[in-house]
Amino acid sequence: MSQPPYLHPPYVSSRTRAPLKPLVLLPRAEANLKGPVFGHESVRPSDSDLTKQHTGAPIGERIAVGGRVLDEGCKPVRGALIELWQCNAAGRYAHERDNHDAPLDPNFSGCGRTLTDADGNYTFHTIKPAAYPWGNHENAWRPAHIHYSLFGQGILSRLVTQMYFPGDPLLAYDPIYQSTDEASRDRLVAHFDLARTTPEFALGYRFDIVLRGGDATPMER
Amino acid sequence: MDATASQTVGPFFRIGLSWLNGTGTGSATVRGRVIDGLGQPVPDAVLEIWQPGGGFCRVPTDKDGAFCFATSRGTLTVLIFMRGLLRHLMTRIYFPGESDAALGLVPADRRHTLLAREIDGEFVWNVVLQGDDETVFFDF
Repeated sequence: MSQPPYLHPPYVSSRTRAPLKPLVLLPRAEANLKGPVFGHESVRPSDSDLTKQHTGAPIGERIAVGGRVLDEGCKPVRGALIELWQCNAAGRYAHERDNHDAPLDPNFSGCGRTLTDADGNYTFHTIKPAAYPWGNHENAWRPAHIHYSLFGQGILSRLVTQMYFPGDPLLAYDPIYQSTDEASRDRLVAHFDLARTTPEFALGYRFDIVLRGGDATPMER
Repeated sequence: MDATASQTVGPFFRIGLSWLNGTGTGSATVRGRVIDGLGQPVPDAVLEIWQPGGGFCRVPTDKDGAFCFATSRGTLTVLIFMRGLLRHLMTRIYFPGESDAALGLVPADRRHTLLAREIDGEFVWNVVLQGDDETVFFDF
């Protein structure tokens, strides 16, 4: 099962928000719908650098996160809109309803956007987010993560997910990360990537994403 | 290769998603609320209205779980995101007199959950996440 279930009782808020009646299966041809098209008039190149949105530099470990967006046929998805948001290096979101007792950073808003290029590539510059507590269960902490929202070729390729960091001990205890099978959740963890690491400037991570759609036949061996 | 796994949009999506919020365009106004399994309004949901032909509107719920948007008539597909949903939901809104193949797949006794009711010149359509009148959601 590559996608998480709706009802996942260890994730407490799914208990009152997941649908409980059977879903109605919609054939792909019936479900598919073209979506909005985003261009560089709505997404500027500077929107992908979360470290340069204020007068000063944000506190934290500067990182470059990038990768490729592919369809299920392993073809690049060009022009895909990626929206990204995250907490700061202290584990606090710049959101009025985040009441975690950690400092806000006046130089960090934590949101960005970009479009994939002709080969499906994207890159963001940001700072590494931190873990933070949440009320799901006793001593619950979310592993550090970056939220991703993607628009591909149509409605079926719409995806909202989260990227995690390698080696995070909190992954083993997180009911959101643990909601899918092992192979699927492994792919939510970025890889440290020395090739994306800029000397004297920022560590690099690679996070590739596969959107639904395209020819899903297996690649030639 | 299988698609990347979905994860919840969480409670703080406004930071990243609100730049695209809109109120829609068209002569029909649709109002509703999102209600959870305890009968409580959901103040932290965001709906995406996908119209035939590429029309798109993103609208969050307010503190009362309410949303409102303008649209032209025609069957609407709605994606729903919120904390508590590990994957987004897909449903549809049908205006009076509309029907299609998808509606025909829905058990007759549940079709009413997809129909917008005309009240005082506007249309009312609610999202009920659980219970007797649970909205029909599509597996896609």
